[in-house]
Amino acid sequence: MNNHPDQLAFIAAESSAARLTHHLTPDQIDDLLIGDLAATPAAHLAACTLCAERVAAARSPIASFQQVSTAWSERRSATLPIPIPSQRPSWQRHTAWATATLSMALGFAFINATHQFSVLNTPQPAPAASAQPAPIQQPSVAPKAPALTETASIAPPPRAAHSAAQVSADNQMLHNIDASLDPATDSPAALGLQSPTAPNPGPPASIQD
Amino acid sequence: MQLALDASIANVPATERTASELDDMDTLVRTHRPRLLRFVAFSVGDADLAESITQDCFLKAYNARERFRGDCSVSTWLTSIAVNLIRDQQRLQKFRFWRQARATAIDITDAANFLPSPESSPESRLLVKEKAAQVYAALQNLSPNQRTVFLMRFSEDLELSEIAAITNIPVNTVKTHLHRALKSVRAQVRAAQSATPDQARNPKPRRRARSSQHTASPESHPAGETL
Repeated sequence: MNNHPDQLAFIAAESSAARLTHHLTPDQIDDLLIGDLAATPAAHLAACTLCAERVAAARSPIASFQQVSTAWSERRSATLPIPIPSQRPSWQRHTAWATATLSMALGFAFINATHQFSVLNTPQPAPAASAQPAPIQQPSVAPKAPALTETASIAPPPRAAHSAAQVSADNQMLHNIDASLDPATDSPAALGLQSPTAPNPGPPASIQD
Repeated sequence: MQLALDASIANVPATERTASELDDMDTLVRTHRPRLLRFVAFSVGDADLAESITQDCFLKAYNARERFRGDCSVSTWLTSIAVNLIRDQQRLQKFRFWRQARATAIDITDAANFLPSPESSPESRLLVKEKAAQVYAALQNLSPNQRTVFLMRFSEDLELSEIAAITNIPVNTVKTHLHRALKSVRAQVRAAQSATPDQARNPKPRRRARSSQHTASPESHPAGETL
């Protein structure tokens, strides 16, 4: 049977109309969502608003799920801490530790050296000057007291020269102490309580009574 | 200057670029972690397990970065590692555990609160939340293979050829899985949408109504669907 050209044109027009009137099947909508839609249904979809609405309705829940899952994962990734392995090589860590230890050792050595230097360069005061004796009450040996005062008021001599003066001052001080503690000079007369020439008057009246 | 920089980047072979990308663990994690976590989390249904698998995935990728040939993108490579880890979990029968005791399950209503669309109305946000919950509920009834290819195609926007390469199954099989998964999801979503107005018109009597001492319980308004 030979097809007339008019018949062929009619068939072509009919198939075109069928393309426009035959809407997409659910399988074709699935194909479209999957990304595997053939050319003919795609052409129909471009011209048919009803099918476009059906596709949008089928795509809507999936798009909502994608939106919500993306929001969840981004929120979760933003709030949770991410343990990241250290990128610094181990030799850098060891170098840092060695540098820190060396710095601390040098610091301690410097502080110690500074302290030793200050101790050696500080002039040392005389022991007599630093250890001042307590003043001793000795009214009867008043003329000897200035020696003690002199000893106490001696300015610290230079380190090389003060040893002899120090020894003599110490001797003088000890001599003064001995003199002040001497029982002969500790008599009542020496203390000025009684005349050495007057006889003993006996006990006071208050005691006699 | 910018053109010169772009040109220098373009001249670097793709293998070297990907190798340096894998060396920089910090950037790698920051770039790919949200997408990978989403895929793993909605595959296994457990947020903490997904965190663990995602961490393992990055660790494996970092340790095996020398073996990466650069014949696919880093994202695809990471996804394939994640798929293998999820399969290992399935082999260890850990899914049975999370189906029974989902202590750290994903709460879809909580997830929907972080939708980045401040200009959208509360009604549209509620609609989005509802649809997402319906799709996720439908996902739980899919087989592991169907769920994996569904998430790859519709959540990760991967091409069919990429999915086939990652899962090591032919493209036609991927299409078959996707068709079945879509049919199931669409049917369940349609059923849920038709059931919602019926439930609104004829609400079922609650079982707790039998005991009058629990009438003041706050559970009379159950929380959103937990996935």
